[in-house]
Amino acid sequence: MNSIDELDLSEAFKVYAISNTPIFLLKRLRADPATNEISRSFSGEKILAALNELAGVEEKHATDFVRPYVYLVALSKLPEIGYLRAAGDINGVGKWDWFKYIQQVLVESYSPVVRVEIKPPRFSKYTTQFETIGEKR
Amino acid sequence: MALVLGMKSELKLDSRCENQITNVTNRCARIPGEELAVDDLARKHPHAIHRTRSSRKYNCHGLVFASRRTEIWDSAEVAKIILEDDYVKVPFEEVHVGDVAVYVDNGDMQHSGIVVEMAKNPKMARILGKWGHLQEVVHWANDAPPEYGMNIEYYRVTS
Repeated sequence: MNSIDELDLSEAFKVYAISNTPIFLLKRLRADPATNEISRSFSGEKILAALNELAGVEEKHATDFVRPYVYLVALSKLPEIGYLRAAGDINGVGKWDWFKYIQQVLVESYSPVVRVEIKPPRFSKYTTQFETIGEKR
Repeated sequence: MALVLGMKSELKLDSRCENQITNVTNRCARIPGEELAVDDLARKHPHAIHRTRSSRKYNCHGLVFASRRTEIWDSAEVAKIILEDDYVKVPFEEVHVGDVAVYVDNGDMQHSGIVVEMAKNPKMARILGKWGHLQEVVHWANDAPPEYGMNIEYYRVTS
């Protein structure tokens, strides 16, 4: 994925449309694959820049209305809380009714997530070792 | 004299104890995609009665607790209404028409409606509610969007 706005948010929009409370929306977006994908594929700077851009333009498509919430929840999945805090200071976020509320809930409930990549040892290495041991016997 | 209203505002809405209930009246136009979502849900829930099209002016809690005038979006405010308006919790076996059904998930009151019918066998409530910014629906308790879950509490004002 090259661009952050390429991601399909149609499922996220369906959840947004039936949301009666911001906590409902937040819980469902936390489980939405789109937020995981964004937090995995983009840096905090990029997500924050995308939010800044959204705040300055008018929404055109249905998914544009849920996009800021998806980005916000994606920020909460980063190992650094600074970006999540900074999202609340962006000019213009007041136009998204639940943004500030959800941002505050996310900040208060934030627990750092550290992503560690564990690579299995290469199979050939073990094969070689076993072969060596076998040869010694 | 013409009355000029803002796109969004808060109504004066008190509980019986005269405490303001936080709410927002949203007079903005429908957003693109909502009408398609209405049709999509109508297809997915063919046994429900889909009474209206989408509206951002009120949500389910606004329908139940504020006569469709506004949106009550904070679960804490719904809890305040239940407490200060003298609602009492009713066991499912004793639910009847006119009671309020609230779909709860870990304290979040994520959907509500008014019981309009009780089926006897099996015992099941039929509920008038509204699905977010979308349509008003008369649906069986187990025929709402699955995201609302099935943890339903019932309440009644008795005095």
